[in-house]
Amino acid sequence: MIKVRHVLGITVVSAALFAMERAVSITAAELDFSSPIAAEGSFPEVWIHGSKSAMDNTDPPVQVHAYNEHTFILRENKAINYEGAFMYLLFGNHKALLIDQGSTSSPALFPLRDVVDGVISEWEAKHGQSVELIVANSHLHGDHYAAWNQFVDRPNTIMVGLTHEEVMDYWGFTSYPDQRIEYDLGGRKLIVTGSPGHQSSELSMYDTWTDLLYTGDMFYRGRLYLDDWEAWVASIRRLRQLADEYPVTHLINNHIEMTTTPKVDYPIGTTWQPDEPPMQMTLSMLDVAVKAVDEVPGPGIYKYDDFLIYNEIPWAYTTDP
Amino acid sequence: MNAKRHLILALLAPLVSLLGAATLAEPEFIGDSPAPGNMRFNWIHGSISAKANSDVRIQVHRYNEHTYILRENPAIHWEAPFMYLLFGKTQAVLLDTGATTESEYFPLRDTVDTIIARWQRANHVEYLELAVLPLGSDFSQNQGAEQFADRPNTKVLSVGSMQREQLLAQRNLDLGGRTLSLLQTPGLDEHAVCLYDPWTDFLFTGNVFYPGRLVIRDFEAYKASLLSLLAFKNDNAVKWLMGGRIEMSDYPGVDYRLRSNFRPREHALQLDAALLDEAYQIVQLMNGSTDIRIHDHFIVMNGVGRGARDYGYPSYTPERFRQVRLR
Repeated sequence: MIKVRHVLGITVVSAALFAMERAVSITAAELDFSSPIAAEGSFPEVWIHGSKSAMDNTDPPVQVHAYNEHTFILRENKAINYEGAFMYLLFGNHKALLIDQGSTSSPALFPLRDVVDGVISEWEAKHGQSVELIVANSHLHGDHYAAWNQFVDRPNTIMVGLTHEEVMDYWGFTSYPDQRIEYDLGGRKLIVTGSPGHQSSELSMYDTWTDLLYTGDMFYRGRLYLDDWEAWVASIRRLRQLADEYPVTHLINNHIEMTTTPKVDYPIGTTWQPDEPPMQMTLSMLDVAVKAVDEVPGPGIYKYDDFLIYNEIPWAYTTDP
Repeated sequence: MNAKRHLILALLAPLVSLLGAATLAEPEFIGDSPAPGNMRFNWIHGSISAKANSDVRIQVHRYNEHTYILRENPAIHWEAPFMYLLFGKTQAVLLDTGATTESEYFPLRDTVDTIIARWQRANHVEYLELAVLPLGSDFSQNQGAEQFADRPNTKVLSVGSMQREQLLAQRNLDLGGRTLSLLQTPGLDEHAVCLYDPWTDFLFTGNVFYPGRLVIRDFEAYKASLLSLLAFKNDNAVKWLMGGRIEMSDYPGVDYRLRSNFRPREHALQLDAALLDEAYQIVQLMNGSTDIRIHDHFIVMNGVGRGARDYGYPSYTPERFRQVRLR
């Protein structure tokens, strides 16, 4: 008798909880990401960019910039790691996608999990939704997944994984890299395609809501280290094709290594970049890359105004005099 | 009464002078063997996150009472150069001045002043001059020099100054009982000089020869400089070559790449003088060609930039010695 009453009690309580949860999600209207024009957003005037003496840096470990209320761009402090990598946190209904996890593992030095948790809980409170976090990567290089470990014990989280097979499996690629995947981030449609060349599991993403085209490490203002030239050529053409079919507001990516002087980069390892150009790039810069594809004769360093092509050059090679 | 006092004084006098001799004795910079000193410790070498670095801004190492080695924290500037402060009876000399100008980041003047004040107190030296001598024109050797511009009793022998020209002509620097000999050693840097201290038997080679990437700008001049260093080494007892930087790791032939500000397995600073023979041999073999020659303790580069990499060497590196590839 006691046992039956106990079970009954549990059923009643759980039914009530279930009803409450439904009630909460019903009261919070679902967000609509199907706008026919690009959702507006803005980039900061300047990003945090390190300091002359790194040990005297007073910037936050991670800069969080809201491009708009559902799109966050994060940058790792260059005084922690010179890569100064960008990370992205995109929200849809009941889902959030974290692309990349920076260049430093230690939560004491680089508290990415805390920062991401903070942004998510604020977003959840504001929009009355709880979100599942998807921890994904643009490509599988250590300066973009170092803090992946900080998320492994996070509840309500999908870890895509750090092997080619796991990445292909999660996104649903059957013919990487040519295939285009339509990914539903809670009503926010992303188009995901392969873009190898810098690294052989790299992805590029187009967000149909903001019209941002994310090109990771395969195209940014800096040294484009290309392991596989043929693959990169195909990837650049694939991105140009995508940009022909969809409107693109900005190209966004992972690093800034150029200075504001055309063709001049901050050499590898620089921890203070007072003269950085913006991170976002334009389609005309992509056109320069499309043209470069036919101009580059073989391995070597080729300088363009907004990026340098390091075709099959060792990653730590610099042009220091 | 008076006589008694005189007697006591007479008895005490030798005792006082003995005590005085023990504490007030001027350092005598003589001896057949090199002055003893201590190098059994680790240099500060940066941290994973430079932002979180909690080391001292300038590490001061007392090699012995009259010889100090200073290092700039790599979290302030990745070059993390070394500086040497040597004392004689009448003058101290600071060799090299670091890679940072701002005293709030890099308080070289304060640090040097503190060392000098303590030394003067301990050694009862009322008046001491200071010479500030960058060993070359490299960025990492001269940035801190201007902190000494208004220091009393101090001459800053910067590249191009009249006083430096005088010193170059004189070929020696007398600190009072401790006379350093000077050699001009162009090749990597046309203004480079090396100094020899006959008391510690240190040959201060600055950025001319150190455990790192020796990037030759003028091949014939460097070859000649190595030859003159060799000749000098053969005529004088040299305990160690003391350079201005460390860029090698303690894995043979493996260097830390340019601008790395966390170098947990650095090569030792001091180099065996016999390595000069090997360097000269390598330079002879290169014979002016564009080349990167990798030695266990240094890398000689000619005709290529400072950050250039050689594909071919080491031909085999065991897995556990490979650097983590970050890109």
